[in-house]
Amino acid sequence: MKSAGSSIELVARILSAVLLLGGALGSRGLAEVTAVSVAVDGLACPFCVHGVDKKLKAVEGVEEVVVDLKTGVATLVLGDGVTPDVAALREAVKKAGYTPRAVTLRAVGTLGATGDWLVLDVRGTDARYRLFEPGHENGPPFFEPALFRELSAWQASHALVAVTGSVHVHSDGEPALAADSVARIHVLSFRVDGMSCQDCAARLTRLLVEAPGVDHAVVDFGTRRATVQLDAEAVDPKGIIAVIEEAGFHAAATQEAP
Amino acid sequence: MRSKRLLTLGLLVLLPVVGIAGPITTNTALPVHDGELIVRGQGKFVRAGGDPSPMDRKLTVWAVPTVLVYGATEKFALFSVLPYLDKELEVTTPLGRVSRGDSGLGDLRFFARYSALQWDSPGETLRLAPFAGVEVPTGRDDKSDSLGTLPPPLQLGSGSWDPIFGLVLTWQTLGWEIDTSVSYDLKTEAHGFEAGDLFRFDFSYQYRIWPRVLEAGVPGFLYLVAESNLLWQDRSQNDGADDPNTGGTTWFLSPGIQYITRRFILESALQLPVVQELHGDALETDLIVTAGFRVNF
Repeated sequence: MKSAGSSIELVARILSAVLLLGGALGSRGLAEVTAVSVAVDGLACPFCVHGVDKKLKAVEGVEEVVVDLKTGVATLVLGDGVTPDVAALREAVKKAGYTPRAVTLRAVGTLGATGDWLVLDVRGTDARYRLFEPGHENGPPFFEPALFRELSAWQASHALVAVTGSVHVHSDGEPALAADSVARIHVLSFRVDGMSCQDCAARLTRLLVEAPGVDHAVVDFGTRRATVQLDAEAVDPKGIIAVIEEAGFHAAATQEAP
Repeated sequence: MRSKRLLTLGLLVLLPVVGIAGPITTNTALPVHDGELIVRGQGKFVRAGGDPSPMDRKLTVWAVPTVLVYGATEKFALFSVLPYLDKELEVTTPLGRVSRGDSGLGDLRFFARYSALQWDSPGETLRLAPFAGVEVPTGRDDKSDSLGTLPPPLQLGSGSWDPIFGLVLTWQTLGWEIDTSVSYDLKTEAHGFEAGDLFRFDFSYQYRIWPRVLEAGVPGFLYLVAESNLLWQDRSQNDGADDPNTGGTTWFLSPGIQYITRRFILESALQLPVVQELHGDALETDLIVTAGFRVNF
């Protein structure tokens, strides 16, 4: 979403309220915080990567680290329900002998407010980030008026949003997120028949995650339910149904995005 | 004493210089992360000859230094170097052609390096690190044979505690690396003998030849390496008197090759003397061949 005349790169699309059948989809399983990465300066040879890899993996909640030497970015995979400890990640890079730059992430949740601050409450966790426009990270709360009105409307409608940006610790010690983009989140739920075991659910999960536009997916064998989180504006439940049926199962949408 | 007219410089270039990633025959300022252990093993072969004297001395040395590096903190690294040596000198004596030498563990070197300055940017780093240490006389220094006690340069150990000081600068990018260092070995006296102090100026340039274009991930790097080792050594002293046939200046140019991955390095270099201005009839080095590996934990 852009505010007229704004110089920021905040790209927001129309957020739709997501109607969830059977209650909030704040359950663990769908990714709350994804695409966590740490930019590392000074890294210029393969032998040096080992230290960064090892130190980041030792941070609690980090399950996997993938370093790209060309960009100098270490991408992290966190455990379910884990929110990144930014200070610990930065300290890990320093202990490896290098200089940490931006820690970026993509977090899914709902907008709220605390005092003068607009905040993102990360779904399924206790984590909360103050939101800033880039360039105003350590100042008082700031959003351009038109932008602020739209964000307030989303807050009122409890819309599910995905915010991507760089994380830092505010001057008063509170975690904050300089939002580069806000994306619409759709969550679709399907009943899946024909699965015979957990392996079927795991296989279907892998296929759904690889489907175009799918950000994350969870298939529960016990409830015969597939929940798919999409990051695209155009949502077509039929496309998801096609993926499920190509895998050899039968699917029916239990709810659709409005 | 004629029996002490032995190669000195050639033996001293065996003293391992310790690198993390980086050069083969010189030091580097690249970091060792907090708690990291690096093990480096090398095999070195030295041949020296060209004796202008009637003794027609020929020296062969095999050395296998083992280096342990530990990151006490991300800025402070500790090093230990222990070589296994096999030294053999062939010499013509009034009794005929004889071979003298010894094999076993040499002197142990300890030193510490501190990252004093660090400038990091994406894909590039510049580091400056002083280092200091001591060589401990753990090697045997009293071996004798039928001709008597071996002269000090042929002994496995020096018998003396010798401080070491130096400074290393490293500039590394994704495509190449430059390391340059200066160091000074202060030799002290033991059993009436004192080797000449040694000053070194080393330079290394490593250029990535593969992959030509860096793609995503952490691929292995293949470097071509060009190194320069300039050594100046003072004259040795026997019972306080300078030995006129010791010391001098040697300049090596050292081409090499290196393969670097996330966990290990394989490398090899050939040190060729291009300038040797040695005093008296000190032996000249013909060549030094080095091959080795490094592994991080």
